[in-house]
Amino acid sequence: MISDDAQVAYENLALELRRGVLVLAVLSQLRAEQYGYSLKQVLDGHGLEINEGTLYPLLRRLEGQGLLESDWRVAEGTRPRRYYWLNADGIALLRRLAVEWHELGSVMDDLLQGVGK
Amino acid sequence: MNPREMIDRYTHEVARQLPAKSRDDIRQELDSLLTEALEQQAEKAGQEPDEAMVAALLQEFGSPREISSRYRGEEYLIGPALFPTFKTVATIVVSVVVAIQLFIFAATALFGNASWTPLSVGESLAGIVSSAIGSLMIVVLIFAVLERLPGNQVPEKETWHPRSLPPIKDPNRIKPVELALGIVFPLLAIILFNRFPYWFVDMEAPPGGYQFFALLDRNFLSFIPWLTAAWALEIVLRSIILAQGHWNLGTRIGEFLVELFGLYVGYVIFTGGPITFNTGLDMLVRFGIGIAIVVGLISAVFTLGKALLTRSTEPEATIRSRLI
Repeated sequence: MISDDAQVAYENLALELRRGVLVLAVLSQLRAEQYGYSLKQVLDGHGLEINEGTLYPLLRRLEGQGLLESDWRVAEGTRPRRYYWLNADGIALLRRLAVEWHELGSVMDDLLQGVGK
Repeated sequence: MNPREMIDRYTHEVARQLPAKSRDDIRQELDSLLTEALEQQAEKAGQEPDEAMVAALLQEFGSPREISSRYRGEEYLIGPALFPTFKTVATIVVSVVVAIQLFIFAATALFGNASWTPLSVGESLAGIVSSAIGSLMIVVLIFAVLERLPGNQVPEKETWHPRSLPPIKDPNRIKPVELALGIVFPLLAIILFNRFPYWFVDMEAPPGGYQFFALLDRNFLSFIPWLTAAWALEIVLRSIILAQGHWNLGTRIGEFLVELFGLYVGYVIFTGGPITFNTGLDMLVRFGIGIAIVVGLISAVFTLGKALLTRSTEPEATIRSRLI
């Protein structure tokens, strides 16, 4: 039986963990142009469910950090949508973060051998 | 409320809390995203979007305040880089303002002609509180402006070196030079005022004696035993601290009591007849003593706080290294 405190601690830590990987996940899917809702669906499709209220401000912040480009587009028969994609700095950063992630993943696999399986 | 109106109200509420330059753009984007999400949900549900559906969508999205704060990022009135300085400056400014007000209040009470009623005392105290709040607000305003000047924010990556770390201060470590001076000066004062009072007091000098600064009134002679007692207590206390080599609870409480006695002596002089024979100078000296009493009171409170709050006798690192 898990106590309420332990459950709250788990939920907070799990949320923190997911937040930590969020930027990398978002950047990885912006190698192709995406607008907010399509990006959410792509991430959902991969099993990473993310609250829209978190995702959309994050896109703006990444753009503010000079990693993304964005533009309003109107496809035929649809409403205007703001599309985002990685610029050169964003692509370089994604590569570096991906290397970091693979190294970290390997270390964590090693550390967590036999845990949670 | 129809779904369109609810979305409009929501995006308006979010945008209202955003900086003007990005307000319209974010509102338009949010509107587009929410409308699309709603349409998708309606399609899945096989029905037209209704109020319940849009309400659930917005609930899931987050409150307007929450969303606008995510768009804005972290905001500070006074950020972490300036806050420690702000705290020190605010404490000093507010203490000085309150001290001056208290002094004026005390001086008026002792020497003024006004008759005091509970209401007038209450008004005076309310005035002191409002000056304290006013002065604090001015300090906050100054630091809020400083916060917005370039270079005052904590950089993402700060350049520093471990060697620049300040040493850990042992709160109970003594400063021998300071203590020694604190013994020498009171001792000199005791000798001078008791052996050569005519140097300072307007009185008849013994044959061959000179009068150097004889600006004090004869009445001051009655204060000399009080002053001598206060100085003697200081000497005894500081000698004990020097001998022990560190502060402890006993000596800190002793310091507090000596300060209290000093304040009492100050009060005796302040209220005890002429200090100098010159009326103007007398008023000036009395004003100085009044300020010293107020500052001394604040200092005594700090001393007592230090006595009660200071616990460790050596730095934590030393204790830990001993444990290892």
